[in-house]
Amino acid sequence: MLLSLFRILITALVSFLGLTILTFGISQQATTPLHDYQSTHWFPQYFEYLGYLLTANWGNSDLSGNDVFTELLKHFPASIELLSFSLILAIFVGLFFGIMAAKNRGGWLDKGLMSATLVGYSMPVFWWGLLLVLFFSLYLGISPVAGRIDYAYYIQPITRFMLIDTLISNHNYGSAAFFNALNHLVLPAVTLSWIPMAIMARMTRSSLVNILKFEYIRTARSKGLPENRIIWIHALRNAMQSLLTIGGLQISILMTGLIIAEYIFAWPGVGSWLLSSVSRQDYPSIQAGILALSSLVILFNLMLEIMANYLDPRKRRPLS
Amino acid sequence: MNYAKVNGLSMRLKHFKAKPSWLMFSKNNGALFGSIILAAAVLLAIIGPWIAPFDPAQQFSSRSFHPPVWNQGGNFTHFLGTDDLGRDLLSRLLHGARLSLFLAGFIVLIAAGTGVLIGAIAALLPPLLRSILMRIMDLLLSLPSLLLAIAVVAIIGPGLSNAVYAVILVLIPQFVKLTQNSISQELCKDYCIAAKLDGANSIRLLTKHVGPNIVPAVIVQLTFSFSTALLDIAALGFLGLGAQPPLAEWGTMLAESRSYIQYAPWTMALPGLAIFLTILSINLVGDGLRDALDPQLNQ
Amino acid sequence: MSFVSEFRTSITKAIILASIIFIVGCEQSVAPAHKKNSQLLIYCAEGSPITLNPQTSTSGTTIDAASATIYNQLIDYQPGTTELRPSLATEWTIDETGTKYRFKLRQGVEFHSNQYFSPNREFNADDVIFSINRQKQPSHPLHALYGANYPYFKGQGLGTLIRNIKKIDDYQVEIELTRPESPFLSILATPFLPIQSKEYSDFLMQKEQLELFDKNPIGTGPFQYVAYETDSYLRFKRFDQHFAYISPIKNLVYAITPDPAMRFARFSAGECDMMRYPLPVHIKLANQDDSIKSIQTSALNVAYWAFNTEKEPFNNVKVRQALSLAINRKAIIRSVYDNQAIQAEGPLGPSSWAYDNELTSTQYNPEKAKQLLLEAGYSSGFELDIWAMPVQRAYNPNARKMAEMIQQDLLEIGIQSNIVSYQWGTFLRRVRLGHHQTVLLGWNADNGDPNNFLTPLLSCLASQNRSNYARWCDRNFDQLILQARQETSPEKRKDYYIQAQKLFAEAKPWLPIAHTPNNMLIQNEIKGVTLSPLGTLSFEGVHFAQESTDIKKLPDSQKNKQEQL
Repeated sequence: MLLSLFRILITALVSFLGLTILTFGISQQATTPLHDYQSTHWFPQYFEYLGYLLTANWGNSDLSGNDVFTELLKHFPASIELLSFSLILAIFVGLFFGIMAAKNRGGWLDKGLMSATLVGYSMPVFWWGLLLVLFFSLYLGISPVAGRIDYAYYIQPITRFMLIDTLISNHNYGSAAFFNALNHLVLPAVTLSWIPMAIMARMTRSSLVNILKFEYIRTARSKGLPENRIIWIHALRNAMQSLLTIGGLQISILMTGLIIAEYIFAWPGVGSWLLSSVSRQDYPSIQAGILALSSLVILFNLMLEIMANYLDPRKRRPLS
Repeated sequence: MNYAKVNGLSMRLKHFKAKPSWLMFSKNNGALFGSIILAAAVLLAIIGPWIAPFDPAQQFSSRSFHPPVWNQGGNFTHFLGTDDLGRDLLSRLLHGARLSLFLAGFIVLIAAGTGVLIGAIAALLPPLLRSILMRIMDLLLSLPSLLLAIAVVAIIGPGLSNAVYAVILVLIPQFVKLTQNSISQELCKDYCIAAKLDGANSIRLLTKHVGPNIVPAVIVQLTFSFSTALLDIAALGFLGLGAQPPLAEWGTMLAESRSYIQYAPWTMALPGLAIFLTILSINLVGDGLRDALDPQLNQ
Repeated sequence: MSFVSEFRTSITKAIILASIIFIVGCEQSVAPAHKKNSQLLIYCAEGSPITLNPQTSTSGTTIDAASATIYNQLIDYQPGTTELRPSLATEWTIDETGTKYRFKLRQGVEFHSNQYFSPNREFNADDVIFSINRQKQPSHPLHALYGANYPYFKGQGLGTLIRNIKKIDDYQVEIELTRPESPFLSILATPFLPIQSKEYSDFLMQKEQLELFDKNPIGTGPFQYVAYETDSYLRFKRFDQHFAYISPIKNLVYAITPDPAMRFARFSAGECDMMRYPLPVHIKLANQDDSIKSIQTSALNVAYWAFNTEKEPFNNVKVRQALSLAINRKAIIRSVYDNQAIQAEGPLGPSSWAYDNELTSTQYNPEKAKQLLLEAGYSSGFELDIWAMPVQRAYNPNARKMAEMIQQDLLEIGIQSNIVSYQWGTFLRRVRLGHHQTVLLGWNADNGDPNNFLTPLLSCLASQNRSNYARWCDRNFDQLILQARQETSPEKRKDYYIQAQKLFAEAKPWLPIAHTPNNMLIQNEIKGVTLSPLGTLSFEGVHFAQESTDIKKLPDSQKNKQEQL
């Protein structure tokens, strides 16, 4: 088991090195060199670049001259907040609808839900976001159009996670600020969790339908265990497994959604920062944005592999 | 987004079922429905420029934001209405269909050709080199395709042709991985070992024996890559990094019409609907194809 | 469990879950009532300023963010006009050589304070000298801070124009110029010469934290800086010790929303009170809606079609007149500008104080155009190139479309034309070198002086590979605008400029097309907004409908000294 853990770590490290070659290439496009390299050839320069990356010296923006790493840290919490909220939404709502459908297998609720998920995972995120804004914000007026919190609340940034800051910082708005921040989170999160949610629901349903046929379930039923209990226990166990198997794919879909949702909802995270840097051709910032988002994907995959390794020693490479 | 994986997995879980449920039927119905829509889309893409009532770039400045026929004030001259510059939306959508579908087809064919070739070469490489190559492919596969495409566009600059290169580059690893995996699986099978013992050389073995056996898997992957290509090109257009206006590309049209989301919602709804229906139909067809073609998953 | 009851419970659960998501999120209504209590004004801004110091950037985003709030200049513009009025300088005198400007400074002006610094003294002459020398002297301790360059200061040649600045006493400074230059006062009134605190700089230098100087700015303006989150918001609070007025706005937030559609969506959902740069369709929507309205003011800009007067046949004035008569500008304004612009008759618009009211309009008259071509010896017509700028600007939203319309009009008088375009950088370079025959371009003023149009666009000096794209050089015209530059009396200056405009109208080096107004959308309960013809933002006089306007007015004794001009 230790051996396979070692192997997983090495794989992640190799991926990260491959990624830095890409971002090194991007950083070479900057108008002024990112760092004062000692050597003139690109090959030794790359190793110097790695050294700079590890010491949090990611260069300065071509435009504002600000330190890119500091800028990145300012944008990162907003993205993480949206991403984790969406992930939770996708897992739980997906799980819930999956169970609903499995319990009513063959019924029209099942049919309806499964058709909805089919529609769900074919939905282009950028269109879906616009439709949600049009309906919930502009037509019904029950959800804000953009931003992280109403500006009537002034929350001093501490952690830069708005939900946390509204709870721990010193202000006199009470819980209203927290709920206001939550309100701002809902629409972007629904936009980007839509596809993962649909996938989750389909997976939960199909595996539950399988499991419910097995002998031991019948035994459990005949012993008089409540149906809901059986379903939830197995559903949860199953959800865990599905998460591990499709986790890499889910994070990849979420990340795509994140970039688009941040763009649509003017969400001040790494994705919108990356896009505006691309349009400004600010290469040091582009390099940092891509490095950060991709590292996040690699890190997430690493976590999944370690978890899978921990849960099931026989299953060494669940993601291949 | 790689739908192939999702569908593969759901299939794998599904085939345990003892008797075909309604879902299996709906699947077939779905595939039928999908193929009808897809066929219609392809047909429109081919004949679109002939049946389009107007030139997609022609501006009727006095008729900007003309509503579609079902809205109040709409009429049959501009069946789907006009956009901000008074360009006929139906004509733009038809030309957009040709552009989007042909581009996606082109991208997928190039990516598949290159990918299969690299995969086949990889299968012949010594284990160390192969494993390095496969690690690189794993890395490219684990990153979201849109992020990778943005990175490529950031280096070579925005524009439709650059977006096409970016998406081709993003799609290649899937085919490399698929080909390499299938080949190494096939090579372990009895008939290959037999052929080897018979003295067949590797190239001949690949083309004569292994090739025909991996075609179905590649075809299934083709459909899902097709939808990824279509979606990524549209997404890049939407983000202003792909096709540039006034080109009638669905994603770019959506981006342009975003400004009129309140004033003329149809200019935003229609290109999005076109993208959505096409993606939906491709996914349905892909599911159906997988059922029919992929022998490994369709036990 | 029967099917019906099972179905019912699942449906109920689904509904409950869906409701939780939305109700929890939407518990707060979108337009909170406490907004009014906190006297908060939200302005939807179009971008994140790169810096908050207008000295170091000519970007409109920086100017909007800093000069409407943090800083004051020695002189500024009367809101909504291009007339000068005293600000930190209460009066000024110019000696008879026109090169020595003596400013009397306002007393009792306080600087802001922040968590690092609270001022111990009021504004005085040292701050003025400090602020101007920061831009002028490379040896100034702040000159090279963050590798700053001073694009406006350098672009206007102020480094060589200003010979020296010296302190007479604590409340008097004298600026000596190398040559007489009457637009100098207008230049001083631009946002690019803000007055900063020398004491703050000394304090930070002592603490070795000089990098905070522009990041946590200190000024004398009506609002003080609170916080800035890139791509998110910029927050100010009212400065209660401001020398001229106390705004009813206690808190001011710039909600940064780069996309115009999203900006308008936010605005119409009530998430912000004011927004700039609406699209024509947003103005239409605002006019249909009772709770919001659009206001506009004519702006100092111009879009034009310039003829390269160095080339055949455009060196012939009759050809230029004929081409000008052939174009239906009313139609252009209708389709390209959506009727949101006024037809231009000269380089200067009606909002300039030197505008010639008697300037006759060039009427659309293809028949007369044909006749003029005949007289000029081009009865069979000729072929020409129209270069259309490839980018969208406030003064010209769609040059390509404009070119297509001109093409259509020219056909009627028997002239074939081709539309030419390059990537923007290449386009400008080639136009500067005079490769074009005719070109569609425009100009946006950065200060209120007429010289800001006439010298860069039409003088002989600028015709040599610079911004005079007609490459037109008329010695009489040049003489007139030079005299106007050196003259200090406004009446005499206006005379010179009117004569110059008449010369322009006769020679027709370009066909002026449109002056595009500045637009702003505001919520109905916001009152007292004035727009500047220069496009700069100001919150002076802005208040909420339900409030009394407790705006402290400038005392009469301090009122305009601009009669001197």
